[in-house]
Amino acid sequence: MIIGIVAISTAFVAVLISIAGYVLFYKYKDEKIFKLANSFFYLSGGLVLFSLSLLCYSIMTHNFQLNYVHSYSSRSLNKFYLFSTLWAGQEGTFLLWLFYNTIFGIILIKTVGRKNPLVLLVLMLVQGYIFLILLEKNPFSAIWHVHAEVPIGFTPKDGAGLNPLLQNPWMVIHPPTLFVGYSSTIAAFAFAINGLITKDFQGWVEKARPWVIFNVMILITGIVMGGYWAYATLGWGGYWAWDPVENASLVPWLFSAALLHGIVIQNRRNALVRSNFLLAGLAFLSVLWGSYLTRSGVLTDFSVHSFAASGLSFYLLMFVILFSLFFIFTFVQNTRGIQVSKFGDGILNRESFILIGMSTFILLGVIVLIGTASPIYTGLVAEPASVGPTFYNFTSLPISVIMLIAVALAPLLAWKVSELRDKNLIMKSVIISLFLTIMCVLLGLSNFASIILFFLAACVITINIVVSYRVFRNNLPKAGGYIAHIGLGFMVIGILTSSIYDKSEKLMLPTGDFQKSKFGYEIQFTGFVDKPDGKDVAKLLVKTDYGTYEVFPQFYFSEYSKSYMASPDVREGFTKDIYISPISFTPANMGSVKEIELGKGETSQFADLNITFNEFIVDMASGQPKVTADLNVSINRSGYNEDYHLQPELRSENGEFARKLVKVGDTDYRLRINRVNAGSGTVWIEIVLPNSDASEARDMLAVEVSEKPLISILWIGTLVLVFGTFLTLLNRTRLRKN
Amino acid sequence: MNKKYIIGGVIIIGFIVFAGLTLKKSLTPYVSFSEARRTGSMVQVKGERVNGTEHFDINHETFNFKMKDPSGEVFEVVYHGVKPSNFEQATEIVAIGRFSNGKFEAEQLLVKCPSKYEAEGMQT
Repeated sequence: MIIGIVAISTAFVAVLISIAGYVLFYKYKDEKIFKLANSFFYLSGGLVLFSLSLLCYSIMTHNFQLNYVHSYSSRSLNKFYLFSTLWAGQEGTFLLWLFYNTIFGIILIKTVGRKNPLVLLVLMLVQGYIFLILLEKNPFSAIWHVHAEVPIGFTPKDGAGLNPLLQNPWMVIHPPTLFVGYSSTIAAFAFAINGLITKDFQGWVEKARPWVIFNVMILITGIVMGGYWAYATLGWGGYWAWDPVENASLVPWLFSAALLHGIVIQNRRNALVRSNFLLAGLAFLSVLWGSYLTRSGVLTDFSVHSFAASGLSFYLLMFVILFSLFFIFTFVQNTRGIQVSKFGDGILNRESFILIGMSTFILLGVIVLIGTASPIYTGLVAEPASVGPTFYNFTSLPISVIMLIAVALAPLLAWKVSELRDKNLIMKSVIISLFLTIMCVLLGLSNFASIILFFLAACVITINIVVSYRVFRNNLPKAGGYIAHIGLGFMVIGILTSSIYDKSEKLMLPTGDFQKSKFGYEIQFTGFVDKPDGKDVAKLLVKTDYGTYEVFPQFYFSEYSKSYMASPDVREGFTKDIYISPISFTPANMGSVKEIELGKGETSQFADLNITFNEFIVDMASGQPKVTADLNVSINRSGYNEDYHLQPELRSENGEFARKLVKVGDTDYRLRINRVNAGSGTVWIEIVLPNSDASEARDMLAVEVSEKPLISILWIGTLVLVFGTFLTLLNRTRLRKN
Repeated sequence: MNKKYIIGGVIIIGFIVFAGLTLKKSLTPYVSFSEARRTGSMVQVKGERVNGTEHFDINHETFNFKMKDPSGEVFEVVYHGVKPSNFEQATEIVAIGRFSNGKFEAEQLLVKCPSKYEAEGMQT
């Protein structure tokens, strides 16, 4: 699509001109140049919006000539998922990135841009580089540009479709949310560069502060949304697997959250000046590094998210290297002779404890970086080797202990003075937490490390609740930080209980029988329920002491991935989630089969069955033509007849015939249409006889049943954390206005 | 030099040593199957799935299948988890685990599919 390619190329040129404009404005302070640079920024922004709309339009109108549209969508997708196709592929996410940066750019121009043109310059450098990538991998490339074997002008009838795993409501909002988080790290980075070059070592942190808070809030929202998606749809029962793609989203958050605390210290004590520059750099550069790791294909052998190599490897690597060099150079050039205040004597002051807390985040970030990149550096010297979840779980344990101690005590300490005040509150908190911990030990908490972590998290929660209540009474937004820490404490507890006390069991369920699970309830598989979108669900009955309820985990064959797709049914409760995930399905061994031929109105007898064929019902209205045979079946049972009215159907699905077996009442007989002759009005009915081996005669569904105790605390904790962070954001923006 | 910086430094260095040792211990290298059999330690092996060999063993609650490593050797993999989605479609499988009692006990399976995020080939 030539117009799209022109739009992106024009926007690239516009970005280059605005870059030159901001440089000149910085040098000569000529208002006209600033206006000119801004207009070219707006031009590029308008073109981004245009490209995004054009791509969206092409997807909605099924323009399969576009490689992107063909690769990620199909006619059968509903509007909702067609829209999410916008970020199903790399080109789309780059466009989204550009779009967000444009919005940030508008805000920056309206607020600080005139006084700090370098902020806009840095933003536009990033924009320029992303446009460069899009020129290489253009979302508007025609299919014959990408696949040499396709003749020019060819329009495929349908697209390859969207990965069924991504066809989930959470996947519609999770990627764009996470991308707001990724892209917004640019603000602190740009302010840091501006601060370095203009030697404004203090002022930049105040300008960057609301952006950093926003970034911390949105990133954790996106990360946890992704975890919830994995938990609720993938069926392996967890929400976090330390996979490279997940790690790539965690690291920027850790650095950004550390920066947020560094800014608090710098603001109060004029310390950590260099560290804060470095953290702003690390947060943004770790986003670029993550994009290289997950999009270039270097880790395909080490990630379940098997990203195929995209041909962008070099561009993405240079993205990291160029911006890292730029940052390091600017940092080294400008940080000589910075005046930094030292911390006071003693350690029992607030700045020391915030520093300890943020250091744990930095350490964890570095550990995750090192672990995730292990295949790359080990591959340089020998066979590439990777690390599994145990590495991260093991190393994050001592880090969390120190972090929780810091978060628990920091609110009680004063700035500058080393003195432990409010010993009374500490005592109360310790007593309450000890009591809660003992309760939990009695309820089954046994692992030593988790007892320690639980106790500390309880201290964090109790102390921060009291402190935030004190602040809250006078000024709600100021309590945001403490409230966020309450959420953090809850998250730790949720992670502990759900991961350590997760119990599961695999069950084989033949249709129609209740099977006992070790959790005390009985489960029965009754069969499959067809869904119009082809994503059939299994129907299970769960019998508990309090009654029986139905669950419907998804289980269907996907043409797209040529395999069965399973999605769990999660019955969420406050104390525990009951999580049922189908594993495999074994259709019944059919037993012997008998075919009978019937003309219209004829009756035929077989064993104790009497079958009458009334007529065909033909339905051509829907896209998939369907023929139904209207049958009366009577079965002779010890002298009296039971009559059934059955309608087995023959459907054409994608050129193949689908024949459904229908059960004859509650007998073991089943029948289906074998073939039809429309001309003569004859039907051949296949009767499936009961199998002699009863264990094989029934469909069998294997499921995994798990109980996830108190996982709700993790989600609630996250909400509290996000709410607290949101309050601090309100507080900051309000302060700025005054 | 302030005492607290020394203590802080010691803690950080101690942690770095701890993390380094853990890293060294947790690294699982890619090896051939014969190498895995020889060492019996935690490794990753890569190979093709042997079609039709996968089955769910209800008695042991395991998912079993056979895998062929690039040298042509076929071996049985026992996985104590749920069959990964897209398993049937996999071109290649990476199993992480150790060799014991004539079988490869996998703790983790990575299934590599050609078209999970990038469509390939043409459907007309």
